[in-house]
This record gives sequence, structure tokens and C-alpha cells, in this order.
Amino acid sequence: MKAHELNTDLLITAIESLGNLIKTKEHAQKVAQKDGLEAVLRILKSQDFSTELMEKCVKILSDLVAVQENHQQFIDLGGHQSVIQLISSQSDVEEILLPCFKILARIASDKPKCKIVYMSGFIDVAYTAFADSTFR
Amino acid sequence: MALFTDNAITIVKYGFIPPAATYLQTFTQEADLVKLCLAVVGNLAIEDIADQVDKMIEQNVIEAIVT
Repeated sequence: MKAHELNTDLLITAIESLGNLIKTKEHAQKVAQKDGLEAVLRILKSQDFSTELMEKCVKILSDLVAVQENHQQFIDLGGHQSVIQLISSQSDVEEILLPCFKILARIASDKPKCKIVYMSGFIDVAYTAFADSTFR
Repeated sequence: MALFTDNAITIVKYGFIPPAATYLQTFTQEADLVKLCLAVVGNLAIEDIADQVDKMIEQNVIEAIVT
């Protein structure tokens, strides 16, 4: 992934392969521990022109944050901010929006992290995204 | 071949992952081959019948993909 950061097709294959490895919570933890979470977030930021790749990234992120042990790392890497930005920029793409909300719902499952998500301006962004979106 | 579960288990059992991981980490300039190798690795993990995903992770497949 790091060696081919500009090759969108290759990154799609790499993200699919990484996603296939997550079958259990232990697998999700191992992927995060071995820099997988960081790599996916980096791709999500750099490949913001490829809807297909962004869809695959948010899907794998939602699997990774299904494990509570990965929440702090996700927040430390600014993942919540990236996801909130994505809700704002991709408000018409349901396949991206739904996993984004799933990610934030999982992250906000405890009070301190809920506060962090709230403080990142989630409510305003979500409200605007729904006002702008064409799907109901 | 890797798309069939029985084959996937056998391929992992006979030691495909370590050389594939080495290849992914070493020959990074060959984008087409890297992509193919990633696809094979991904297909091997589609189903996890005989815990081959655990074995793949032990054999540094995550590091190879992230590199």
C-alpha cells in the first residue's frame, strides 16, 4: 500500500485483501496493531477522488472499529475527523454514508469518545449532509 | 485455484504465504505482479474453514499488504 499510494486499482485490491482477513475480533485487532488501520485512513485521505476505493475503505474501517480495543487508536489517528469530512463531501453516496454512520456509532459507544465525536462538529455536518442529500 | 476453499487451505498449508509476503515486500516496483499477488492472497482469505487466516496472519501477511 505504501509503495503504491498513487495506484488506485492496486490499492482497491490491497484493501479487499486486507478486508478478507478480518473474520473475527482478534483479526481486527491484529490488523490495527500491525498498522492496517493507519494505512486505510491514509488511503482514505489521499484517494478522495475514487468512490469505489472510499467505499471499500469505510467498510473495512467499520469492521475494524467493531472492536472496542481499536477505538482509541482510531481517534488518535484522527479517523473520526476523516469520517465526518467524508459525510460532508459524500453526502449523496449512500454506500459511503451508511458505513460512516456505523463507524461513528461504534466509536461513540462510550461517553468520553461520544464527546470527542460531538466536539468534532458531527451534528452540524450530519444535519447539512441530510439537508443536501438527494436520497431519503 | 485460490477461489476454492479446499485449494486455499492446501495452498496456505504448503507454505505459499511466506514467499508471497517476501515478494510483496521486496519487488514493490512491479505493480501488475504485486496486484496479482495481492489478489491471490485476498482470495485465500475469502473463507476461513481451517483457520488458515490465523496462519496467514502469523506469517506476516498483514505487514506484506500494508507495506
